[in-house]
Amino acid sequence: MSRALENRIRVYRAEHRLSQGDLADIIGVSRKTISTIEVGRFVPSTVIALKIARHFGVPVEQVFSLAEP
Amino acid sequence: MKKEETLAQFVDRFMQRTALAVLVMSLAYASSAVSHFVSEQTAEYLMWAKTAFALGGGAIVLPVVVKFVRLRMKKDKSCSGSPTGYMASMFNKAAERAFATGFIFMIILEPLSQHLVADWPPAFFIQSTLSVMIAALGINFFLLNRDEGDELDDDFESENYGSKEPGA
Repeated sequence: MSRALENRIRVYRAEHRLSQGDLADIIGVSRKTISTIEVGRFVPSTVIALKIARHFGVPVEQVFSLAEP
Repeated sequence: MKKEETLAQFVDRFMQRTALAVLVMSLAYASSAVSHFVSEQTAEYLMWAKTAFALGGGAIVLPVVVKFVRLRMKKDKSCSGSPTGYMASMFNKAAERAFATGFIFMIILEPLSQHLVADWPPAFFIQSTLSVMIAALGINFFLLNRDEGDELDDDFESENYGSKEPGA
């Protein structure tokens, strides 16, 4: 499990009223991929991270950030 | 109404089926390996078991392989096996662990085959190594994918969001 990478996917999903399955379909991954990214169990590839950020219309750093040491 | 399976979900299912099939196939190789050390009659039963395991493994994976090939023939790039999703990543990790397990197993077998069990048939060493390696692949895949409570609730109505900016 990776806690080094924090993310705000759930916040953005809530703002956009999207379920994990909806976002997964839009990005082209499975719902399991989205759920495991959200809880920090899976560190996504750069492509997935950029697709998520692009969908929400924000820079990738606003969705993903490094945890404070 | 049942929601249609997306390509990403299909790729996940394909990998789950493959892992299950290799786990069953490992039993087929284990049956072959054991058959060298049992009576002729028991060896015959084990050969039947091996055939059953091999057919079972094939039956598990065949439907998804057929669908996968059909999608590939349609030149669907989503089925190109790009390892970006969670399942693909876990499958790769399981394969790495299986390779390491097989490597360690062979290192252990190597001195044994020269001294303690020098008269054992060479086929046993190949079959047992294959069995251990593919069993390790299947077991590791399912261990890595076991549910650890990552299924979050999607009910946004009852919760408060948007409270914290990253690094704030």
